[in-house]
Amino acid sequence: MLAATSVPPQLGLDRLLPELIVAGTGFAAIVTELLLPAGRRAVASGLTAFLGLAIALIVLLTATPTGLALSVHAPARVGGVVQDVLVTGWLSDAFSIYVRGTVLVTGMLLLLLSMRYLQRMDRGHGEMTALLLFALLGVMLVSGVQDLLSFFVCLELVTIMAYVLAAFRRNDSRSTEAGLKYLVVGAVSTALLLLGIAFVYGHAGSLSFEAVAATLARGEMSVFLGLGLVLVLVGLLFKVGGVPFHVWIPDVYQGAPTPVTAFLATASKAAGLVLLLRFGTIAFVAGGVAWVPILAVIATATLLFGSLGALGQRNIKRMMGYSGIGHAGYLLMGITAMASAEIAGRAADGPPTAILFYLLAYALTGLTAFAVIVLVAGASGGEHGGRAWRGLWKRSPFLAVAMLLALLSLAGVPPMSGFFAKFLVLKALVDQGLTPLAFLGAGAVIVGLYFYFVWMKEMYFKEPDPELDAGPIHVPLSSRLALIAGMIGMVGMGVFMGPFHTWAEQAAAALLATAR
Amino acid sequence: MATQVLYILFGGMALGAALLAVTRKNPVASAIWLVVMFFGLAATYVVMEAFFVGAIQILVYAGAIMVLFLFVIMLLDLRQQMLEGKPTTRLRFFGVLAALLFLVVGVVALGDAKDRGLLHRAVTPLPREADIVAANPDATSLVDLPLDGTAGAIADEMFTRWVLPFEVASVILLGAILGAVILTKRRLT
Repeated sequence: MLAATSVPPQLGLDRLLPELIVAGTGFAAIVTELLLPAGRRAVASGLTAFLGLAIALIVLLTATPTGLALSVHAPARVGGVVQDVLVTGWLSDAFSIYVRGTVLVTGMLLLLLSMRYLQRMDRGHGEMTALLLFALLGVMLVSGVQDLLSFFVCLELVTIMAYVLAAFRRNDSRSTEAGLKYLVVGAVSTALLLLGIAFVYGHAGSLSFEAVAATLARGEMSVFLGLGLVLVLVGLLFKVGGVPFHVWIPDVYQGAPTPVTAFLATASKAAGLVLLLRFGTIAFVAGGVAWVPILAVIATATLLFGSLGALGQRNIKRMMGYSGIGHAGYLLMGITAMASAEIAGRAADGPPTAILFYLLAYALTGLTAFAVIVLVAGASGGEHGGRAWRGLWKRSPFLAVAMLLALLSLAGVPPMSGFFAKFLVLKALVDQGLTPLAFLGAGAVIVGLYFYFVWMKEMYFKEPDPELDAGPIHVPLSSRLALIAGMIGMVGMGVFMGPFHTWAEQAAAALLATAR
Repeated sequence: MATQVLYILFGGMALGAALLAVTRKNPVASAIWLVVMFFGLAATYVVMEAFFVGAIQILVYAGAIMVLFLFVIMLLDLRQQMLEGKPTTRLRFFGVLAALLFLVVGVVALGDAKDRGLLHRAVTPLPREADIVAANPDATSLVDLPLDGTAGAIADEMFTRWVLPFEVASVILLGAILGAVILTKRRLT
C-alpha cells in the first residue's frame, strides 16, 4: 500500500446521475411555485417531484455503473507513515445502490401521501417539495461518502432541511416548537459530531475513511481517537433517536407537519443508520473502544424506553414517535451484533443484511401508517387523538385495513415484512452469541403488540365519535396509490422475502468488502 | 519562537474573550466579546500562515455575522430584559459536574497524547514565501506562484479535491434561503 500505486482521479459523474436528477427536480419544484397560478401549484410541484424521483429510480436501477466518482488518491500521512490512500470520493456500489433505491421509493411514497397535505396548504408548496427533495438528496448522498468532510456536509444537508420542514407551519405553535426544539438539540449533536471528527482527524492526520481505517487496523489508539469515535457515534445516535439522545423525538414528531414526521421517521433515520453501518466497518476494531457493551446498553435502553413509553400515548403521532424509538432500538441491536462480529474478526453478513432489510420494511410500513394518519386527521379537523380513530372501520374500511396491516407489521406479526425484519435482527444477535439481547427484543415485541392493539381496538370495536364530523372519509387517488403500494410492499416483503433478502445480502457484502 | 509567543497570546485572547462572551449577562457585552474572540481567532490563523482564512474570518464573522447579531439584539431591544432569574441549584450542580468531567477527559486525553508523542509529530514546515519566489524566477506575478495560505491554494483544494462537499454546501445554502423566506416573510401570496 505504500506510495507506489498511483490511481488517476475519477470524474465518473454518471455514477451520481440519480443524485443530479433529484437535485435538478428540486430546482424545478421551486420554479413551479414562481410560474404557475396559486391553484395549480400543489399538484404541479408534487407531480414534478414524483416524476423526478421516478426517473431517478429508473436511472439508478438500469444505468448507474458502480465505482468511484470524484475520487482523489493521494499520499496521506497515516499515523506517521505516508501511504497512498483514497482521500475523497463517492462510492457507488451495491450498498449505496440499495440505500438509494430505498430512499427513492420512500421519497415517492412520501410525495404521494403529501399531495393531500400540499393541497390543503395555502402557500409554500414548491418550497416544501424542494426542501423535501433536497433532504432526500442528502440521504442518498450519505450512502456513498468516503471521507469525514463529505460525511458531515451530506448529513447536514438532511438535518438543516429537516429543521425548516419541522417548523413549516409557522402559524401553528406546535410546529414552531417542534422546529425550534429540533434545531437546538440538532445543533448540540452537530457540535459534538464535529468535535469528534476533529479529534479523529487530529489523530489520523487525514479525513479519508481509508486512512482512518488503516490507522485503527494497525492497532493505533489514543484517548483522543477513542473520544473522537465515541463523539461521532453520539452525533449519529441523535439522528437515529437512540437513548439518551432521543428526547426530541416525541415532541418533534407530534408538532411537525405529518409528511415531515413521516420523513423524519423513515428517510432521516435511515441516514443515521447508513452512516452507522459505514462508520462501523471502520471503527469496530479490537483493542479500542469497548463498543459491544456501550452499544448493547444503548440499544437495550432505547428499546425499553420506546416500547414502554408508547404504552400510554393517546396521540397517534406521539405514539409513532415512541414506536420509532423502539424500532431504533432493534436497529441498534443489529449494530451491536455487527460490532461484535467485526471486533471478533468474523466476516458476518448477517447483521448488516438484517439492518438493511429492516430499513426498507420499516420505510414501507411507516409510510403506509402516516398516509392513513394524514387522511384521518384531515377528515377530523386536525385531530390526532384517539377519538379521531374511533370507528374508522365504519368511516372508511379501506383506510382501516391499511392501518391494520401497518400496525401488524410494526408490531412484527407474521407474515408481514416487519416480522421478518425483527426475525433477522434477532437471528443475527443469536448468531453472534448475544442471546440475552435477543430475548429482550422478543419480549419487547409482546409489549408492542399491546400498544398497537389499543389503536386497532379504537378503529374496529368503537363507534365513531358523534362530536366529530364522522362521515365517510374521502381517499384521493394519490393517497390510494401510496396505500396500495405500501400494502403490496409490506405483504410482499413478508411473503416473498427471498429477492429482497438476497438484495440486502449483496448490499451488505459490498459494504463489508469496501472495508477490507 | 516569536510565532509561538504570538500564537499563545492570540489564542489566549480568543479563549478569554469566548469565556467572557458566555458569562456576560448583558447581550450587547456578550456580542462585543464575541467580536474580540473572532479577531483573536483570525490572528491565530495569520500566525499559522493561513492569511486568506484569517482575512475571511474577519470579513465574514467579525463583519457580516456580528452585524447581524447586533441588529437582532437591537431590534428585539434585549438590553431591557437581561438574563434574569438565577439558575436552579440542580442546574448549577449538573453544569459544574459536566464542566469537571470535560476537564478530566481533556487532561487525560492530552496526557495520553503527550505520552504517545502525538503532540510533537514531525510536521513538514510550509515553504517560506521568499523561497518560493526564488524557486520560480520566471513568474511575472504572484498568481503564478504556488503559495500556501493564499486564495489560490484554497480554491485549488475546494474546486478539485473537495468539490462534492462544496457543491452539497451550495444546496444547503439554497435550502437555507428558502427556509428563511418561508419562515419569516410576512405575506407570501
